Amino acid sequence: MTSKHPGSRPGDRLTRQERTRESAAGGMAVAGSSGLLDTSIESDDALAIGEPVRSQWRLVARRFLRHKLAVVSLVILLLLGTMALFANAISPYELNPQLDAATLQGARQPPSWEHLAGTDKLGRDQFTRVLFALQKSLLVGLGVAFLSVVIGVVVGSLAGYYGGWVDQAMMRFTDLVLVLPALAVLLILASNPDPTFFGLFDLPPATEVNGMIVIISILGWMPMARIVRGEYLSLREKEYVEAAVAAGAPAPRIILRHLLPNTLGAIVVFGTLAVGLAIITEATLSFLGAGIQLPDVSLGNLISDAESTVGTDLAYLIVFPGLMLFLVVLCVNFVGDGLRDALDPRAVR
Amino acid sequence: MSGPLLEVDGLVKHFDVKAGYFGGDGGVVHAVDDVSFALDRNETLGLVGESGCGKSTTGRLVLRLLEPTSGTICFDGTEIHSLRGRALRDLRRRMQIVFQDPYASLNPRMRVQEILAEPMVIQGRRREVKARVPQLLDMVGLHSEHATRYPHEFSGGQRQRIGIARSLALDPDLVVLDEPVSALDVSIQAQVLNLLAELQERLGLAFLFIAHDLSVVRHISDRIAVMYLGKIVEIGAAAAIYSGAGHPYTQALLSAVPEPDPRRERARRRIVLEGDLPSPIDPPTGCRFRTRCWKAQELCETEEPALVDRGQGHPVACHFADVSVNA
Amino acid sequence: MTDALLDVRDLQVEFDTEDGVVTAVNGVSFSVEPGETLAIVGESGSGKSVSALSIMGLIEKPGRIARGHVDFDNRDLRSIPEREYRKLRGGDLAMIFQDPLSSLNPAFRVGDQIAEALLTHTYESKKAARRQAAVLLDVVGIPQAGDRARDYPHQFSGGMRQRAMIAMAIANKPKLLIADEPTTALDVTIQAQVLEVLRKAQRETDAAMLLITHDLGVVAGMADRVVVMYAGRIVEEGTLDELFYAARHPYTIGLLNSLPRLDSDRRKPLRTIPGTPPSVLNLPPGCALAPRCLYVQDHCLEDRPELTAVGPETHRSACFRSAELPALVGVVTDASS
Repeated sequence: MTSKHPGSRPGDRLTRQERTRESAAGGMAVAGSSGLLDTSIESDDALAIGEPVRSQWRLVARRFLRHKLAVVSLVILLLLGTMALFANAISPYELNPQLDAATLQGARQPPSWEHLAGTDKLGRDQFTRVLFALQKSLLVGLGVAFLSVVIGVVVGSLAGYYGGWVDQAMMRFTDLVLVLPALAVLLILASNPDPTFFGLFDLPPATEVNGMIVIISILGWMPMARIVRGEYLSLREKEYVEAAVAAGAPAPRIILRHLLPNTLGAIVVFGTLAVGLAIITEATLSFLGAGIQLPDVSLGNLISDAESTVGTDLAYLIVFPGLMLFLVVLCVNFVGDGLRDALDPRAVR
Repeated sequence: MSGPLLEVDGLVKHFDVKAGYFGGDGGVVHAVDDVSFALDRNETLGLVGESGCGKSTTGRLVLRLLEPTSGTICFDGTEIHSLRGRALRDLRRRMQIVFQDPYASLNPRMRVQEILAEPMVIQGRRREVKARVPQLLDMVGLHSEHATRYPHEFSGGQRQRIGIARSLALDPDLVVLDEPVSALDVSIQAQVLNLLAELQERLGLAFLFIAHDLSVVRHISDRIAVMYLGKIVEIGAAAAIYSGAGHPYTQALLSAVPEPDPRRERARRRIVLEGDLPSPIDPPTGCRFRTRCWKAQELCETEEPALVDRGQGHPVACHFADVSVNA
Repeated sequence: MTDALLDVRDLQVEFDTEDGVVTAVNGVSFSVEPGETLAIVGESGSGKSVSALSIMGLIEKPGRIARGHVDFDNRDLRSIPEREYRKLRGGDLAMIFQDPLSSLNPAFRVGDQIAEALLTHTYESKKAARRQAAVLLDVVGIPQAGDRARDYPHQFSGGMRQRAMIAMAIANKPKLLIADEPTTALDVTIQAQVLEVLRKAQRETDAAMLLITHDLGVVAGMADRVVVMYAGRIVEEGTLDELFYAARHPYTIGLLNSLPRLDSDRRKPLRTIPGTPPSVLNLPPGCALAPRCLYVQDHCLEDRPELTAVGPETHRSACFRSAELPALVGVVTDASS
């Protein structure tokens, strides 16, 4: 309640938005929608020993927990993830059982208590197959998110911190990759059985999970780079960065201690949404026949395998993988939305 | 070492403005144009002016947060422009800055003790941290329990104190204060001003106090320099400036400050300047203030007035400056 | 039925927040007579802006007016439908905001925005409205008003934008002009200009003005009467002279004393109000200023003082010791921060 918040333009010591925040800092919001209440402890007496320190993350967690949709989605994802991880243990059936007479007898069964998702044309338990496919999808999703973030952060950090020609070079390169038609390039890359990193070392092929991760990440890091660069460009102007410079801080310290930690919000949100995008991309590639091949299962190839069942009484074979894909990506997106709201920069100081 | 602590001579800073895509010429922002002044140990120089005058830029140039286009800056006899590496780091230890915005001057992800410790860590004095942090907090009127908290848990006035504490961590000789109280509530401003005065006396600090508010700067300054559009138009002892300003802009500034005294307000002869601040990309020829000055004549357009004593007892950059009775 | 143009009684405005209900304005009453200027003074968090916005009906979720009367021109503003309110806003009831940058729509020409204000209330013909817009810009001192009317806001400087806002506000000859920190964001010489314009605008329209500010200097030059707010309540009110020369509340006195002035003794440290304003979430019982008050007594911490007259009827203060203050202030040496 004791400060005005200066504006950033010369002559304008307070913009309305910032003054709204400042009134908010006084413990009140002005005209509702644009304000946020600062619940900081004001008087010196209140900052007594023993008061719990309210770190930023706790505030974020509290805000996230208020998004019921996001919380439910997170729970569902955790559930699915656990199931997928322990697919071996959970399912009484094998992924690829011996195709003997007994199995073939039980083929084409609709969903029942014994086979929750029915059996396919060869008698294999569809639910088991979907679970293993989900395992791959989640691994790819998380792997791509991680790798894209790493590449994007490195590129974006250099561009955002150094500016000048480094920035130009990095960003033009980023633009170049952005311009490539993603699906076409992915298909080409995926069809290469012996990929190498510019001839320097071997990479896993797209038929494996790791290969998928590498390929999708190649075309997935650009938005992260842009986001990080953008954040750094604005954070660089912040006075606490100037203060560090004035104390003699070298570049690595400024990037790692001041710029990066304050960009975490944007990174987390991007990373989460990248998971969903990666899962869909992988499913698409496998559906089209590139990427993961049968008998290795992927949600994509399970769907394509059951393509012809639409409209027949074997339609359950396509419904389950499809539904699973839809559900996972939806939940990931809801969690991402919840995180974005929880990390809203207007709310976090 | 005798001689002034800080000596600035002919300081110039121009910023390039790129030409727009749809026409609009590129140009050069004359942010600071030929500024010279000196600052002694334990002295406060108030650098006053409105937006666009270049005072903040000057402050940053002194600290080498910006590189000058030309001109020299000498700190304790050493020219700072050419310093690199270790020498530059040693220099940084001796001059620090306090910023205007209490909300943006502290890293929200760092605890107070980390913020205060950082200058020491950077300078390789990690061992001193443990003892110094509580000391610093105490100096600015905060408690040592505050060390483990995050900035967002403090009020604006308290954050400003933390910023001040941080600037003192390395025991500097000079502190540049860039509008340190402008963003604070009125009742807190007085507290912080008193604190700054007290710290100055206790620690023998020199202050370069940048402000737009003449009444604020009055209390803490020994000398005042008034800036307009990148140039110093008047510089002298605080008492002299307040009682007998020579430059019309200074007079207008003094006149424009609203006084919390109704009778005096009503009785005042108010100077209201015409027009707006000219663009720093295309400043007026001759005297830059002439477009708003009631004394402007032909000479003002053709010849830039030099910053020299014209009978006031201190330098004034005006062809028709008032000769003060109190010179 | 009163003569007052604006009559606010027992206004209470609350906000729902993460941490509970915040009472931003807590039982505030004041009135404005036609043609007079009332200044509401306070620091951030005092509730002064929220009060102003309540009068304009601009409090939205999570805020709401919990209680109280807001009567304007003998109409109960809390009971009129929204479309009636819209007729008032920009017409009889006009507001000038603090930030000249975001109050004008950057996508439209300045003259057109003023013309729109005219067309919404008092004008019918677009051509006539545009002509009048240029006239208004001239009234507020914009040079070459006719040409400048065709500029966009970004081509105006901060001071000019504020003048344009004033032009928009007075376009329909309002009865009440609410100015919320109109010059805080401006340089001091521009502030002087804009205040001149504001005075002139008020003269030309005979409007009453509700001036919200934290700057006592501005108040001294503009107001007829003053109301001082602290932590959502009024702590003192009176005429301009009463407040500045005979203040009877420790907060007002403290505020006046702590201001660095051009005429005070440079060498003495400023006399400050120690401590910081309270969090509106946990207001202490009793007087809100008590934890910081130099003249506090035990019962101040428990009982809340009401506004009572101190001398002339117009001068009221909410302090148990208001009668003793003149003597006390000379004696008690206040601590500097």
